[in-house]
Amino acid sequence: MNVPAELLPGASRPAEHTDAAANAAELDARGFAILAARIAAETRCDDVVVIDLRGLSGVADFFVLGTGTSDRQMRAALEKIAEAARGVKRRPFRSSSADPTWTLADYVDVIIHLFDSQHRAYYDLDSLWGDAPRVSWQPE
Amino acid sequence: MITQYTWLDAADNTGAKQLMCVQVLKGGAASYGKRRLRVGAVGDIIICSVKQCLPSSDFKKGDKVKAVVVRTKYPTRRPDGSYVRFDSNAAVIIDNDGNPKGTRVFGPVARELRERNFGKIISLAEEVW
Repeated sequence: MNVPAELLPGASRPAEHTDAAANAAELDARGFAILAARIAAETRCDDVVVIDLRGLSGVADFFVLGTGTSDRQMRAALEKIAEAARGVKRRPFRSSSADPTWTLADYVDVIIHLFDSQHRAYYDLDSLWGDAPRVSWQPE
Repeated sequence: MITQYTWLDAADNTGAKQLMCVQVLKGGAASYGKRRLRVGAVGDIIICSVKQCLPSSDFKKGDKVKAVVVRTKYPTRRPDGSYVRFDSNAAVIIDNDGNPKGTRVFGPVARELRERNFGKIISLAEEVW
């Protein structure tokens, strides 16, 4: 009797396939958040933090927070991140770079916030999501 | 459905508690008898008068402020055919650049704000529906 290959012991099952797909998607969001944090740090953004919001908020999976030094520098950082995003086939869903105090790029599962130092302290997103785990990343 | 004279809760920590809509900027239109009223939904910007506020707040009664509607009792239709409605009408006070004046947003807010480019309000909200 011929047994289909997927039913043989040790064969991968559809449930495992979906788990693997979910893990790959998770890695993508996390990987992109870390990539954005690295680029932000390279473009002289200070105090760059990646917050893991999975299970805590329905807004996004990751927040990347950074403090810029000037309007022009923050816009340059967002442009570099957008360039890198194009490389991994992502594009921002919405972005608001017109405001010099708080620029935001929304990549659906990753949201990037760049503030000036005064507004970072004012809105204090770090303590709003204080109970969320921080993702450790190393600058290249 | 927010129109002129609609009272809304202020869903932020600016100290304002109750707002009354005095003008809907953009938004849609609905007929009310022979009149055509301008109506606002989630994500529309409105001009409000502060009706109740805390003594410690930056506002006082009668101040005119710009706000964005974050919750409506009137059901909002979504592209998938579902509707979302809330127990109260509520708005968040913003400045001329569209940044929230408060630092926290209370209660649930509708997901439609994200499409209307109010990601900052969404990021400050506790819950998004």
